[in-house]
Amino acid sequence: MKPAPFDYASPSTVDEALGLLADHGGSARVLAGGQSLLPQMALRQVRPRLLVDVNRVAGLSTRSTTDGGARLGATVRQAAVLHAGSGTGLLDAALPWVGSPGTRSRGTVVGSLCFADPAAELPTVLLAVGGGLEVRSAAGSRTVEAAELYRGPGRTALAPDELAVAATFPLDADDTRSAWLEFGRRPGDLPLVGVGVVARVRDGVVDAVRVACAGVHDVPWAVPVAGLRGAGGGLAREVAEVAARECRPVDDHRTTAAHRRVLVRTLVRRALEQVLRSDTEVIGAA
Amino acid sequence: MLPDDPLVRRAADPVTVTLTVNDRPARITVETRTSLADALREELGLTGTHVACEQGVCGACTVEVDGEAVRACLLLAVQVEGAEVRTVEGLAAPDERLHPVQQAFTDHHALQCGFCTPGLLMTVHRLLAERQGVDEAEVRTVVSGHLCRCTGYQGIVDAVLHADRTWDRPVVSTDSLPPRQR
Amino acid sequence: MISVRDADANPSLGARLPRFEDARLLRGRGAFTADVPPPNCLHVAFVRSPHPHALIEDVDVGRAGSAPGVVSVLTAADLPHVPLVDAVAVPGLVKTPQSALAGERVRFVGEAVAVVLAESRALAEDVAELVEVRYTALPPVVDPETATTLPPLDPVLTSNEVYHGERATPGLEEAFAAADHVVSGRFTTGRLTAAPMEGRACSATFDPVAGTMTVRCSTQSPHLLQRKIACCLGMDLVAVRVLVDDVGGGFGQKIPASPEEIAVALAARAVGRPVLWVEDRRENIVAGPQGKEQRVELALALDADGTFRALRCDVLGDAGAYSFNSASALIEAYLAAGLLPGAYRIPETGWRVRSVLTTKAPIAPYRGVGWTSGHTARELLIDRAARLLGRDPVDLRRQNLVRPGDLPYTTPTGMTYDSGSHLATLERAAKLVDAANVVPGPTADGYYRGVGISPYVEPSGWGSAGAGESSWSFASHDSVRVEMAASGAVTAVVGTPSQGQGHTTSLAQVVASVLTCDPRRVRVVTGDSASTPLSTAGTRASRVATVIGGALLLASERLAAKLALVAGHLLGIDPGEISFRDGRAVAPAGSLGLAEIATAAVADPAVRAALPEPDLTATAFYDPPATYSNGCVAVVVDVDAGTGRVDVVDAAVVEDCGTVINPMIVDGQTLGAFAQGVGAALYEDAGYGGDGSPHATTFGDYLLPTARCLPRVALEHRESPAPHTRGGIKGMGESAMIATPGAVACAVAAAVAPLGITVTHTPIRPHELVAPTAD
Repeated sequence: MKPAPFDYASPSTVDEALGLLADHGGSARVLAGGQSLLPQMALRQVRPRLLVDVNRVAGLSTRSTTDGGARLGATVRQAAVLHAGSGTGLLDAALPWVGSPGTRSRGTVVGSLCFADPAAELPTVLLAVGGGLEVRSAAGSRTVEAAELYRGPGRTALAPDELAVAATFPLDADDTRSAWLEFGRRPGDLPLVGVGVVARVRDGVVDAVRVACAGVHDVPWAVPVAGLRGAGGGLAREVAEVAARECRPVDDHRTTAAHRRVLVRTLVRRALEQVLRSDTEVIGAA
Repeated sequence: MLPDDPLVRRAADPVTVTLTVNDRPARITVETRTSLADALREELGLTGTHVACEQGVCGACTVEVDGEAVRACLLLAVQVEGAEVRTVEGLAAPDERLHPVQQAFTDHHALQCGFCTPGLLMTVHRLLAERQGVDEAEVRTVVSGHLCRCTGYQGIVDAVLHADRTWDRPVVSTDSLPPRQR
Repeated sequence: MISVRDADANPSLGARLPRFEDARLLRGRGAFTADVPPPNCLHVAFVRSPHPHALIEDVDVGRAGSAPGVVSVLTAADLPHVPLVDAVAVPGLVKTPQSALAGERVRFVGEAVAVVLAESRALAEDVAELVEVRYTALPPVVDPETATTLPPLDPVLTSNEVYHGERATPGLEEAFAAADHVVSGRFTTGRLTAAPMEGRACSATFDPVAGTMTVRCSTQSPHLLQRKIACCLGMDLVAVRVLVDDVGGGFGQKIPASPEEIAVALAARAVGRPVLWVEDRRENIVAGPQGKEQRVELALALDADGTFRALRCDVLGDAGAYSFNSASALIEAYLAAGLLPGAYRIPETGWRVRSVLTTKAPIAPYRGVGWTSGHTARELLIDRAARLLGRDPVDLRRQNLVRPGDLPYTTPTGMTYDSGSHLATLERAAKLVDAANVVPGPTADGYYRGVGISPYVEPSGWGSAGAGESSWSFASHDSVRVEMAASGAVTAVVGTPSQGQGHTTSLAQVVASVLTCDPRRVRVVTGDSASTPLSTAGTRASRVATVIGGALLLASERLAAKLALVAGHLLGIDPGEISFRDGRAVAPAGSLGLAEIATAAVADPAVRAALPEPDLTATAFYDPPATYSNGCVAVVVDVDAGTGRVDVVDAAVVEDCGTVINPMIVDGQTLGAFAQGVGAALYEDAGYGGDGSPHATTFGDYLLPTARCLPRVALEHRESPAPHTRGGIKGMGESAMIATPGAVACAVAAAVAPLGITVTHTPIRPHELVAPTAD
């Protein structure tokens, strides 16, 4: 399975990269980690005329903290974030599930966010924590919030001439607790359903909970939990029921809609229970 | 397309890549689409790296690039200009004894047909270069990035645990250890 | 631990020797087919059908013919040849020939329609996309149950049923009528693919001056491929040479000659340059020969006390699109029926077997062949019977297993189990997983735990007689040659190559056990059809240890006799006084090293005067009697009813393959087969949708078990030597793949029975195991 022929460019600066995208946008693809794009190209499912390799673009491989957010440059590797921690609990919880140790050495956080696989972990994490992408083009720059970013399987709000240069994830506050749970056919597989929960928890009471699911819809899905707060198993069950009731899964070759619904209910409940347990453990330790 | 964009290498034009492979300088000529795996095999005759899925799933093509274990089927040869690459042939010279990781593999019957083995060796070599005192759960997690159809993995797991004990290597400070995998 | 037989005299047999082939493979110096391309070779890409069933109206190579890097594009019209059909004859089986390239119609997604030859694989793929094939789609045939209601897929057929057979023992109906209980069930096993890590690969070089074809192939049977190529190309057998060095796994998929391999040879002859084909993973999964896929309906008649009285089955095999290769249409359903009694005493059996064609990739042998599916169905049914009767499943099996006193035991299907440890291995496997203390129902963590016990018999070591007891025509013809050089080094030449089983080591151990030399001084040569003795069957059916091992024992004894003659002459004693120990010929009068004897045989004129033919070469032919390995697989699973996830948390295999050559290799085979069995039960699915498209095309959707899917497996052995094979060797290798899917399926069924969920097929999918309201 060899890819169709393509031209290749390896710009050294963001401006060079943007210039290439401006000239070739519609028929170009950006190459970061390549762990998702190159397999598709090998199958000839995608055939860019030009591959813009951003791995040597200066300034894209930095991690920094700005305004309460963890900022990860476009070519920051998943393994690097996993190793160092990000300050965003849900991202740290989800990263061990992303791909395998063998793909995380090259795979990038931003690349996974832009690849927009509806079953993948990181787009759903971005949605759950309320993060966003820093996007540049020859015309300027903008921020795209997670809630506006995803349009469908493999489709984002980025225009063909735009380059995501960084992702920002809000840092956890002291009382932030998070949990990521997923179910795949084999341990470590791309999930059938993945659930991310972020909550502010004080004294065993959950406030400001956000729940997002991967693999349930065409895009990461935020469970409508506005206003729900409470404690213990009761809250976990209530949110799980809302999620199970509100989701609109479909049958596909990976599993059935009914199964997805059960997974949503089970994983949401367990993730919330885990969030509550983690808070209890902290209090217990203190 | 702008025909004379100096940044763009044309698909039809061969590209020369200079790199270091197994501590020796190498110069190869490839297409833009040639994978590192194919380039190692066909341009340098290093056929120890095997291609089994071309999707980055099975890990058979794993090599080390600048000190990291990577899937060579998911790297283009043009991407490794100036890089240091180590393949399975670079674990021990032909006239040298087997590397302790290789020795552990044969001692524990961690290979049968041998097709998945080189990729596993490179992953394990990198794992143990960076970590000490691995346990079975962690080993199984790392090995799960590789597919083996012959062994059922048990011999491989035993070999890794054994090599952890027998490979005399610099102690890695625990501060720099990556967090435990699930 | 293994008991080493006659440790002093035969230190090699039973020794856990690390393998001689390892260093080369570990250093990345394997010689797999793609590693040894012929100089100046062209690279192949096949144009493959996207349709499951279609008429080929037209193949236009115009645009392709002028593409960069192309050298030739060949279609069926360009490659006249004799289509593939094999010689396996089972009365009533209809064969349908398969061409190297489809000419008039395609019958499965991925069937090859044209072959592109170009300067690189990438270019060949570019060119393949430019070949324009005009198809007229025809209805796919996907459901084997209704295949016979649809038009036949081949003109030689009157229906898509290529085999229909029925047999019953005389008392079957009466046994069912008189039984206190009849338990029945309908079970299906899904389609699988062997998925060796090295896919199929083949290169061919035609020399028009010498009129010879040299082929290098990732195959399990070089002589079989040699014969097929000679036949298909209309060449003399000896003008075709097949070379095999390293093969990255076979598991049966590489037994048959593939149409692509014939196409490669034809192309090499047509274009006048060597040709290399290395299939990619998508080709292997979609178009490669596949395995399993049966529907088994069973009924078991029991007494009130649980004694098995009769077993009846109706087996339907889905043969895929062609019935041509290694009796592909029968390797599943037919063999399943023959082994249905398994390790149990069941006096009356009957079966109906049908095999039908469908528009899927054709079936080939895959480890365990038809025995896997039949075994899975039977063990699930026995557990069902146990639940109905309120009996412990281990105890019900214990009651009905073949006992030591029954041996030799002849089943109603005609197999005579020569020896074995059926009860002992059952008891031990159950003990190792603590089956008695696995309580069905939810655990404290909310998982549902279940245990599955799966005792098996494996018809191993197939020669003609073994196959005959499966009512299978099998021209087992294997001879070997053993030679000693003047230095005392020994060469064993055999016709059965390795795909990971370690023949280089185990067969050296066999020879060394007779000559008493260091096994490292025995070089095993295989893989060249021109210089190795004929093996009509090649490496399959767990036969090499028994057949080749047995032949090597005899050949080594013959060589030892020649050595004794020379030694006797040199020592001035009767050769009868000589025995071999530690690589020396010893007698009361003195001793000689093997090198001394060999040098004298070659160079000493006095030896030649006394012994006109002191050539230190011996050959032997061996076609063994039937023999049967046995054992038991036990598995404990936890099912998470909230998600449907199955974790295999504990496992044990206790196996008995008679005399063991290298226990480490036996362990490795067992563990590998166990993993494949878990994959078959829980993860792997090469099935097709209603539109005739395969579900799986890459390793992203054909899910092999990984290291995290498997527990540590406890392994133990018993050794019941075969009474009638040389050395008592029985062979193994398929055993755990026969029994493991059933063990896992039974464990899951036991776990979810309290939830009212039943298991009726493999692979078991998580969505089938969730209780809709379970939390």
